[in-house]
Amino acid sequence: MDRLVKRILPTSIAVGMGLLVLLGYLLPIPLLASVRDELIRWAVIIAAFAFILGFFNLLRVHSGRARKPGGMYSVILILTALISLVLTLAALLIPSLRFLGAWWFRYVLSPLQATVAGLIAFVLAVAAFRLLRHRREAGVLVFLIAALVVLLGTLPLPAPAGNWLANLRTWWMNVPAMAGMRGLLIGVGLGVLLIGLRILIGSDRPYSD
Amino acid sequence: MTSILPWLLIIIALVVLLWTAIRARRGHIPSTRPLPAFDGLPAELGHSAESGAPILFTLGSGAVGGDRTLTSIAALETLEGVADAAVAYGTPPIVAVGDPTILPLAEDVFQRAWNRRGTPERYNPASVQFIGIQPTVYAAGVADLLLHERAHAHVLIGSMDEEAALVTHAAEGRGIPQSVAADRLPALGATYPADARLAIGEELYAGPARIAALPRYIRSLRAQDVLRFLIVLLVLMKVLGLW
Repeated sequence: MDRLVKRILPTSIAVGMGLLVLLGYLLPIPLLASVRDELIRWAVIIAAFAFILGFFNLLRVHSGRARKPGGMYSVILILTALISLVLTLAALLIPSLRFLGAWWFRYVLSPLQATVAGLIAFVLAVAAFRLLRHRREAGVLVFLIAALVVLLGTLPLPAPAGNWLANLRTWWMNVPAMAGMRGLLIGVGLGVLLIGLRILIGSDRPYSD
Repeated sequence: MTSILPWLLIIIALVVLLWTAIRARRGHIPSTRPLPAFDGLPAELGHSAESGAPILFTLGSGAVGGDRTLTSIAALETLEGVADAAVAYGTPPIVAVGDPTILPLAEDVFQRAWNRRGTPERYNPASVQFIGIQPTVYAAGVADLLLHERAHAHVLIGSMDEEAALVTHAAEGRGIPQSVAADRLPALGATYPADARLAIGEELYAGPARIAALPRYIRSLRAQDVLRFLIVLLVLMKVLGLW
Protein backbone atom coordinates (compact mmCIF):
# COMPACT_ATOMS: atom_id res chain seq x y z
CA MET A 1 0.00 0.00 0.00
CA ASP A 2 2.86 2.34 0.94
CA ARG A 3 4.57 1.60 -2.38
CA LEU A 4 1.31 2.27 -4.25
CA VAL A 5 0.80 5.66 -2.58
CA LYS A 6 4.42 6.81 -2.62
CA ARG A 7 5.66 5.46 -5.95
CA ILE A 8 3.17 3.90 -8.34
CA LEU A 9 0.38 6.48 -8.06
CA PRO A 10 2.53 9.65 -8.39
CA THR A 11 4.57 8.10 -11.22
CA SER A 12 1.41 7.03 -13.09
CA ILE A 13 -0.13 10.50 -12.72
CA ALA A 14 3.08 12.27 -13.83
CA VAL A 15 3.65 9.98 -16.83
CA GLY A 16 -0.03 10.05 -17.84
CA MET A 17 -0.35 13.83 -17.60
CA GLY A 18 3.00 14.36 -19.35
CA LEU A 19 1.98 12.13 -22.25
CA LEU A 20 -1.46 13.77 -22.52
CA VAL A 21 0.06 17.26 -22.71
CA LEU A 22 2.72 16.11 -25.20
CA LEU A 23 0.15 14.38 -27.44
CA GLY A 24 -2.04 17.49 -27.20
CA TYR A 25 0.77 19.44 -28.84
CA LEU A 26 1.77 16.78 -31.37
CA LEU A 27 -1.54 15.41 -32.66
CA PRO A 28 -4.17 17.62 -34.32
CA ILE A 29 -7.07 16.18 -32.29
CA PRO A 30 -9.39 18.85 -30.71
CA LEU A 31 -10.22 16.66 -27.69
CA LEU A 32 -6.52 16.21 -26.84
CA ALA A 33 -5.93 19.95 -27.27
CA SER A 34 -8.75 20.83 -24.86
CA VAL A 35 -7.49 18.26 -22.29
CA ARG A 36 -3.99 19.76 -22.65
CA ASP A 37 -5.31 23.31 -22.09
CA GLU A 38 -7.30 22.19 -19.04
CA LEU A 39 -4.24 20.47 -17.51
CA ILE A 40 -2.12 23.56 -18.11
CA ARG A 41 -4.80 25.67 -16.37
CA TRP A 42 -4.58 23.32 -13.35
CA ALA A 43 -0.80 23.73 -13.33
CA VAL A 44 -1.17 27.53 -13.29
CA ILE A 45 -3.56 27.31 -10.29
CA ILE A 46 -1.14 25.04 -8.40
CA ALA A 47 1.73 27.44 -9.22
CA ALA A 48 -0.33 30.30 -7.73
CA PHE A 49 -0.50 28.39 -4.44
CA ALA A 50 3.27 27.99 -4.60
CA PHE A 51 3.53 31.79 -4.53
CA ILE A 52 1.61 31.86 -1.24
CA LEU A 53 4.02 29.22 0.13
CA GLY A 54 6.95 31.34 -1.05
CA PHE A 55 5.59 34.42 0.71
CA PHE A 56 5.21 32.57 4.01
CA ASN A 57 8.67 31.00 3.62
CA LEU A 58 10.11 34.50 3.19
CA LEU A 59 8.34 35.73 6.34
CA ARG A 60 9.39 32.66 8.37
CA VAL A 61 13.07 32.81 7.37
CA HIS A 62 13.38 36.56 7.93
CA SER A 63 11.40 36.65 11.19
CA GLY A 64 14.00 34.17 12.49
CA ARG A 65 16.86 36.31 11.21
CA ALA A 66 15.37 39.56 12.51
CA ARG A 67 16.14 38.49 16.07
CA LYS A 68 19.83 37.94 15.29
CA PRO A 69 22.51 40.67 15.23
CA GLY A 70 22.24 42.63 12.00
CA GLY A 71 18.60 41.65 11.67
CA MET A 72 17.54 45.19 10.76
CA TYR A 73 17.55 44.35 7.03
CA SER A 74 15.26 41.39 7.65
CA VAL A 75 12.84 43.69 9.51
CA ILE A 76 12.89 46.07 6.52
CA LEU A 77 12.30 43.14 4.16
CA ILE A 78 9.31 41.88 6.19
CA LEU A 79 7.80 45.38 6.32
CA THR A 80 8.33 45.87 2.57
CA ALA A 81 6.78 42.48 1.78
CA LEU A 82 3.75 43.29 3.96
CA ILE A 83 3.34 46.76 2.41
CA SER A 84 3.48 45.18 -1.10
CA LEU A 85 0.87 42.62 -0.06
CA VAL A 86 -1.46 45.23 1.46
CA LEU A 87 -1.15 47.54 -1.57
CA THR A 88 -1.80 44.69 -4.01
CA LEU A 89 -4.84 43.48 -2.05
CA ALA A 90 -6.14 47.05 -1.70
CA ALA A 91 -5.81 47.56 -5.46
CA LEU A 92 -7.77 44.35 -6.07
CA LEU A 93 -10.54 45.18 -3.61
CA ILE A 94 -10.79 48.96 -4.15
CA PRO A 95 -9.97 49.86 -7.79
CA SER A 96 -9.64 53.56 -6.92
CA LEU A 97 -6.55 52.68 -4.81
CA ARG A 98 -4.81 51.02 -7.74
CA PHE A 99 -2.54 54.07 -8.19
CA LEU A 100 -0.90 53.36 -4.81
CA GLY A 101 0.27 49.91 -5.89
CA ALA A 102 1.45 51.27 -9.25
CA TRP A 103 3.34 54.08 -7.45
CA TRP A 104 4.98 51.58 -5.10
CA PHE A 105 6.16 49.36 -7.94
CA ARG A 106 7.23 52.20 -10.24
CA TYR A 107 9.04 54.44 -7.75
CA VAL A 108 10.31 52.04 -5.08
CA LEU A 109 10.71 48.46 -6.36
CA SER A 110 11.68 49.10 -10.01
CA PRO A 111 14.49 51.61 -9.19
CA LEU A 112 15.88 49.23 -6.57
CA GLN A 113 15.90 46.36 -9.08
CA ALA A 114 17.52 48.58 -11.71
CA THR A 115 20.19 49.62 -9.19
CA VAL A 116 21.13 46.02 -8.49
CA ALA A 117 21.17 45.26 -12.24
CA GLY A 118 23.46 48.26 -12.76
CA LEU A 119 25.98 46.77 -10.33
CA ILE A 120 26.56 43.78 -12.61
CA ALA A 121 28.76 45.76 -15.05
CA PHE A 122 31.05 46.90 -12.21
CA VAL A 123 31.19 43.41 -10.71
CA LEU A 124 32.18 42.00 -14.12
CA ALA A 125 34.92 44.61 -14.51
CA VAL A 126 36.34 43.76 -11.07
CA ALA A 127 36.14 40.04 -11.89
CA ALA A 128 38.06 40.61 -15.14
CA PHE A 129 40.87 42.40 -13.26
CA ARG A 130 40.99 39.58 -10.71
CA LEU A 131 41.13 37.10 -13.57
CA LEU A 132 44.20 38.82 -15.00
CA ARG A 133 45.93 38.64 -11.62
CA HIS A 134 45.08 35.07 -10.63
CA ARG A 135 44.82 32.93 -13.77
CA ARG A 136 47.39 33.07 -16.52
CA GLU A 137 46.28 30.57 -19.16
CA ALA A 138 45.42 30.55 -22.86
CA GLY A 139 41.65 30.46 -22.22
CA VAL A 140 41.84 33.63 -20.15
CA LEU A 141 43.72 35.41 -22.95
CA VAL A 142 41.06 34.42 -25.52
CA PHE A 143 38.30 35.53 -23.10
CA LEU A 144 39.89 38.95 -22.59
CA ILE A 145 40.60 39.44 -26.32
CA ALA A 146 36.96 38.58 -27.08
CA ALA A 147 35.73 41.03 -24.44
CA LEU A 148 38.01 43.79 -25.80
CA VAL A 149 37.01 43.18 -29.43
CA VAL A 150 33.30 43.32 -28.58
CA LEU A 151 33.63 46.38 -26.33
CA LEU A 152 35.85 48.38 -28.72
CA GLY A 153 33.84 47.29 -31.76
CA THR A 154 30.68 48.64 -30.15
CA LEU A 155 32.21 52.09 -29.44
CA PRO A 156 31.61 54.82 -32.08
CA LEU A 157 35.33 55.27 -32.83
CA PRO A 158 36.47 57.40 -35.85
CA ALA A 159 37.33 55.72 -39.19
CA PRO A 160 39.35 53.81 -40.33
CA ALA A 161 40.12 52.09 -36.96
CA GLY A 162 36.45 52.33 -35.92
CA ASN A 163 35.21 50.61 -39.10
CA TRP A 164 37.87 47.93 -38.88
CA LEU A 165 37.00 47.20 -35.22
CA ALA A 166 33.26 47.17 -35.96
CA ASN A 167 33.84 44.65 -38.80
CA LEU A 168 36.07 42.55 -36.55
CA ARG A 169 33.38 42.60 -33.86
CA THR A 170 30.71 41.53 -36.36
CA TRP A 171 32.91 38.68 -37.62
CA TRP A 172 33.74 37.65 -34.03
CA MET A 173 30.07 37.57 -33.04
CA ASN A 174 28.92 35.78 -36.21
CA VAL A 175 31.65 33.17 -36.56
CA PRO A 176 33.57 32.00 -33.44
CA ALA A 177 31.03 33.22 -30.86
CA MET A 178 28.06 31.86 -32.83
CA ALA A 179 29.80 28.49 -33.34
CA GLY A 180 30.49 28.16 -29.62
CA MET A 181 27.00 29.34 -28.72
CA ARG A 182 25.33 26.81 -31.01
CA GLY A 183 27.49 24.01 -29.64
CA LEU A 184 26.47 24.93 -26.09
CA LEU A 185 22.80 25.25 -27.02
CA ILE A 186 22.80 21.83 -28.73
CA GLY A 187 24.34 20.33 -25.59
CA VAL A 188 21.76 22.01 -23.35
CA GLY A 189 18.98 20.85 -25.68
CA LEU A 190 20.20 17.26 -25.47
CA GLY A 191 20.38 17.42 -21.68
CA VAL A 192 16.83 18.77 -21.52
CA LEU A 193 15.60 16.12 -23.98
CA LEU A 194 17.06 13.29 -21.91
CA ILE A 195 15.61 14.55 -18.61
CA GLY A 196 12.22 14.98 -20.29
CA LEU A 197 12.37 11.44 -21.63
CA ARG A 198 13.41 10.05 -18.23
CA ILE A 199 10.37 11.67 -16.64
CA LEU A 200 8.03 10.55 -19.42
CA ILE A 201 9.12 6.92 -19.18
CA GLY A 202 8.86 7.06 -15.37
CA SER A 203 12.57 6.51 -14.83
CA ASP A 204 12.92 9.85 -13.01
CA ARG A 205 10.66 10.63 -10.08
CA PRO A 206 11.54 14.05 -8.67
CA TYR A 207 8.41 13.86 -6.50
CA SER A 208 8.95 10.54 -4.68
CA ASP A 209 11.58 8.10 -3.38
CA MET B 1 14.10 15.93 -43.07
CA THR B 2 14.07 18.87 -40.63
CA SER B 3 10.76 17.75 -39.10
CA ILE B 4 11.87 14.11 -38.87
CA LEU B 5 15.16 14.93 -37.08
CA PRO B 6 13.70 15.65 -33.60
CA TRP B 7 11.69 12.42 -33.72
CA LEU B 8 14.78 10.55 -34.88
CA LEU B 9 16.74 11.97 -31.93
CA ILE B 10 14.01 10.94 -29.48
CA ILE B 11 13.88 7.40 -30.90
CA ILE B 12 17.69 7.08 -30.84
CA ALA B 13 17.74 8.38 -27.25
CA LEU B 14 15.13 5.80 -26.22
CA VAL B 15 17.02 3.01 -28.02
CA VAL B 16 20.31 3.97 -26.31
CA LEU B 17 18.56 4.16 -22.91
CA LEU B 18 17.08 0.69 -23.49
CA TRP B 19 20.37 -0.71 -24.78
CA THR B 20 22.37 0.58 -21.81
CA ALA B 21 19.67 -0.76 -19.46
CA ILE B 22 19.99 -4.23 -21.00
CA ARG B 23 23.79 -4.06 -20.78
CA ALA B 24 23.54 -2.91 -17.15
CA ARG B 25 21.48 -6.01 -16.34
CA ARG B 26 24.34 -8.08 -17.74
CA GLY B 27 26.64 -6.29 -15.30
CA HIS B 28 28.14 -3.66 -17.59
CA ILE B 29 27.87 -0.23 -15.96
CA PRO B 30 29.21 2.53 -18.23
CA SER B 31 31.73 4.89 -16.71
CA THR B 32 31.24 8.65 -16.64
CA ARG B 33 33.75 11.30 -17.59
CA PRO B 34 35.32 13.41 -14.81
CA LEU B 35 33.64 16.77 -14.16
CA PRO B 36 35.61 18.99 -11.77
CA ALA B 37 32.52 21.08 -10.91
CA PHE B 38 30.83 18.06 -9.32
CA ASP B 39 33.73 15.74 -8.45
CA GLY B 40 34.86 17.95 -5.58
CA LEU B 41 31.42 18.05 -3.95
CA PRO B 42 31.66 14.89 -1.77
CA ALA B 43 34.95 16.17 -0.32
CA GLU B 44 33.40 19.61 0.27
CA LEU B 45 30.56 17.91 2.17
CA GLY B 46 33.13 16.25 4.40
CA HIS B 47 34.94 19.52 5.01
CA SER B 48 31.60 21.18 5.67
CA ALA B 49 30.84 18.58 8.35
CA GLU B 50 34.27 19.11 9.94
CA SER B 51 33.87 22.89 10.02
CA GLY B 52 30.18 22.77 10.99
CA ALA B 53 29.41 25.34 8.29
CA PRO B 54 26.92 24.29 5.61
CA ILE B 55 27.30 24.47 1.84
CA LEU B 56 25.09 27.05 0.14
CA PHE B 57 23.23 25.73 -2.90
CA THR B 58 21.93 28.34 -5.34
CA LEU B 59 19.29 26.66 -7.50
CA GLY B 60 18.76 29.53 -9.94
CA SER B 61 15.68 31.39 -11.10
CA GLY B 62 14.11 28.46 -12.94
CA ALA B 63 10.50 27.53 -12.28
CA VAL B 64 8.37 24.45 -12.72
CA GLY B 65 6.17 25.23 -15.70
CA GLY B 66 8.44 27.13 -18.04
CA ASP B 67 11.34 26.60 -20.42
CA ARG B 68 13.70 26.24 -17.45
CA THR B 69 11.72 23.42 -15.76
CA LEU B 70 14.00 20.55 -16.73
CA THR B 71 17.16 22.49 -15.83
CA SER B 72 15.67 23.07 -12.38
CA ILE B 73 14.86 19.37 -12.10
CA ALA B 74 18.48 18.51 -12.99
CA ALA B 75 19.59 20.90 -10.23
CA LEU B 76 17.19 19.26 -7.77
CA GLU B 77 18.47 15.79 -8.71
CA THR B 78 22.04 16.91 -8.03
CA LEU B 79 20.87 18.31 -4.69
CA GLU B 80 19.17 14.99 -3.95
CA GLY B 81 22.49 13.28 -4.69
CA VAL B 82 24.16 15.13 -1.82
CA ALA B 83 21.16 15.29 0.54
CA ASP B 84 21.63 11.88 2.19
CA ALA B 85 25.34 12.42 2.88
CA ALA B 86 24.75 15.98 4.12
CA VAL B 87 21.98 14.80 6.45
CA ALA B 88 24.15 11.91 7.69
CA TYR B 89 26.96 14.37 8.48
CA GLY B 90 24.48 16.61 10.30
CA THR B 91 25.24 19.68 8.20
CA PRO B 92 22.42 19.97 5.65
CA PRO B 93 23.04 22.66 3.05
CA ILE B 94 21.27 26.00 2.87
CA VAL B 95 19.28 26.09 -0.37
CA ALA B 96 18.34 29.36 -2.03
CA VAL B 97 15.52 29.13 -4.58
CA GLY B 98 14.43 31.85 -6.98
CA ASP B 99 10.95 30.65 -7.75
CA PRO B 100 8.27 29.47 -5.32
CA THR B 101 7.33 26.50 -7.53
CA ILE B 102 10.77 25.01 -6.81
CA LEU B 103 10.44 25.64 -3.07
CA PRO B 104 8.21 22.64 -2.15
CA LEU B 105 10.34 20.33 -4.33
CA ALA B 106 13.59 21.44 -2.66
CA GLU B 107 11.96 21.14 0.79
CA ASP B 108 10.76 17.66 -0.14
CA VAL B 109 14.32 16.58 -1.04
CA PHE B 110 15.46 17.26 2.55
CA GLN B 111 12.29 16.06 4.24
CA ARG B 112 12.69 12.69 2.49
CA ALA B 113 16.41 12.59 3.32
CA TRP B 114 15.67 13.12 7.05
CA ASN B 115 12.84 10.54 6.83
CA ARG B 116 15.20 7.97 5.31
CA ARG B 117 17.60 8.75 8.16
CA GLY B 118 14.77 8.00 10.63
CA THR B 119 14.82 11.46 12.21
CA PRO B 120 12.13 13.51 10.40
CA GLU B 121 11.89 15.89 13.37
CA ARG B 122 15.40 17.19 12.61
CA TYR B 123 14.27 18.70 9.32
CA ASN B 124 14.65 22.48 9.47
CA PRO B 125 12.19 24.26 7.13
CA ALA B 126 14.39 27.38 7.16
CA SER B 127 17.18 25.48 5.38
CA VAL B 128 15.35 26.04 2.08
CA GLN B 129 14.83 29.73 1.46
CA PHE B 130 12.82 31.52 -1.17
CA ILE B 131 14.72 34.68 -2.06
CA GLY B 132 12.81 36.48 -4.81
CA ILE B 133 11.43 36.00 -8.28
CA GLN B 134 13.12 38.87 -10.08
CA PRO B 135 16.55 37.47 -11.19
CA THR B 136 18.66 40.44 -10.04
CA VAL B 137 16.84 40.58 -6.69
CA TYR B 138 17.43 36.84 -6.32
CA ALA B 139 21.14 37.25 -7.08
CA ALA B 140 21.44 40.13 -4.60
CA GLY B 141 19.65 38.03 -1.95
CA VAL B 142 21.98 35.07 -2.48
CA ALA B 143 25.00 37.40 -2.37
CA ASP B 144 23.73 38.68 0.99
CA LEU B 145 23.36 35.10 2.24
CA LEU B 146 26.93 34.37 1.16
CA LEU B 147 28.22 37.44 2.95
CA HIS B 148 26.32 36.95 6.21
CA GLU B 149 25.74 33.20 6.63
CA ARG B 150 28.65 31.02 7.68
CA ALA B 151 28.82 29.02 4.44
CA HIS B 152 31.71 26.63 3.89
CA ALA B 153 31.34 26.44 0.08
CA HIS B 154 29.02 27.61 -2.65
CA VAL B 155 27.40 25.58 -5.43
CA LEU B 156 25.46 27.40 -8.13
CA ILE B 157 23.49 24.94 -10.21
CA GLY B 158 20.47 25.88 -12.26
CA SER B 159 19.19 28.51 -14.58
CA MET B 160 20.72 31.97 -14.26
CA ASP B 161 21.79 34.79 -16.56
CA GLU B 162 24.46 37.47 -16.19
CA GLU B 163 23.28 38.27 -12.63
CA ALA B 164 25.18 35.12 -11.59
CA ALA B 165 28.24 37.41 -11.51
CA LEU B 166 26.86 39.07 -8.34
CA VAL B 167 26.67 35.68 -6.61
CA THR B 168 30.09 34.37 -7.65
CA HIS B 169 31.64 37.75 -6.79
CA ALA B 170 30.24 37.53 -3.24
CA ALA B 171 31.54 33.96 -2.82
CA GLU B 172 34.93 35.00 -4.14
CA GLY B 173 34.97 37.90 -1.69
CA ARG B 174 34.49 35.41 1.14
CA GLY B 175 37.24 33.21 -0.28
CA ILE B 176 35.15 30.06 -0.20
CA PRO B 177 35.41 27.31 -2.85
CA GLN B 178 32.63 27.33 -5.42
CA SER B 179 31.26 25.29 -8.32
CA VAL B 180 29.12 26.80 -11.03
CA ALA B 181 26.85 24.95 -13.47
CA ALA B 182 24.46 27.17 -15.42
CA ASP B 183 22.58 26.52 -18.63
CA ARG B 184 22.39 30.07 -19.93
CA LEU B 185 25.12 31.61 -22.08
CA PRO B 186 25.15 35.00 -20.28
CA ALA B 187 25.78 33.15 -17.00
CA LEU B 188 28.77 31.34 -18.47
CA GLY B 189 30.30 34.59 -19.67
CA ALA B 190 29.60 36.25 -16.34
CA THR B 191 30.97 33.44 -14.17
CA TYR B 192 34.02 32.52 -16.26
CA PRO B 193 36.22 35.19 -14.61
CA ALA B 194 35.30 33.91 -11.15
CA ASP B 195 37.59 31.54 -9.30
CA ALA B 196 35.17 28.63 -9.63
CA ARG B 197 34.98 25.11 -11.01
CA LEU B 198 32.76 25.51 -14.07
CA ALA B 199 30.41 23.04 -15.71
CA ILE B 200 29.63 24.33 -19.18
CA GLY B 201 26.40 23.78 -21.10
CA GLU B 202 25.24 20.18 -21.07
CA GLU B 203 27.64 19.31 -18.25
CA LEU B 204 24.99 20.69 -15.89
CA TYR B 205 22.77 17.71 -16.76
CA ALA B 206 25.61 15.31 -15.97
CA GLY B 207 25.56 16.45 -12.32
CA PRO B 208 23.16 13.76 -11.07
CA ALA B 209 25.21 11.04 -12.83
CA ARG B 210 28.45 12.19 -11.20
CA ILE B 211 26.99 12.83 -7.74
CA ALA B 212 24.20 10.29 -7.25
CA ALA B 213 25.78 7.79 -9.68
CA LEU B 214 22.43 6.02 -10.08
CA PRO B 215 22.29 3.72 -13.15
CA ARG B 216 19.39 5.68 -14.68
CA TYR B 217 21.40 8.91 -14.63
CA ILE B 218 24.51 7.22 -16.03
CA ARG B 219 22.44 5.63 -18.82
CA SER B 220 20.98 9.01 -19.64
CA LEU B 221 24.44 10.58 -19.76
CA ARG B 222 25.60 7.84 -22.12
CA ALA B 223 22.59 8.49 -24.39
CA GLN B 224 23.39 12.21 -24.28
CA ASP B 225 26.98 11.50 -25.39
CA VAL B 226 25.82 9.22 -28.24
CA LEU B 227 23.35 11.84 -29.48
CA ARG B 228 25.97 14.57 -29.35
CA PHE B 229 28.36 12.41 -31.36
CA LEU B 230 25.63 11.81 -33.97
CA ILE B 231 24.83 15.53 -34.20
CA VAL B 232 28.52 16.40 -34.67
CA LEU B 233 28.67 13.75 -37.41
CA LEU B 234 25.57 15.18 -39.11
CA VAL B 235 26.97 18.73 -38.95
CA LEU B 236 30.29 17.55 -40.44
CA MET B 237 28.47 15.67 -43.22
CA LYS B 238 26.41 18.76 -44.00
CA VAL B 239 29.52 20.98 -44.06
CA LEU B 240 31.36 18.54 -46.36
CA GLY B 241 28.32 18.31 -48.66
CA LEU B 242 27.78 14.60 -47.99
CA TRP B 243 24.14 15.16 -46.96
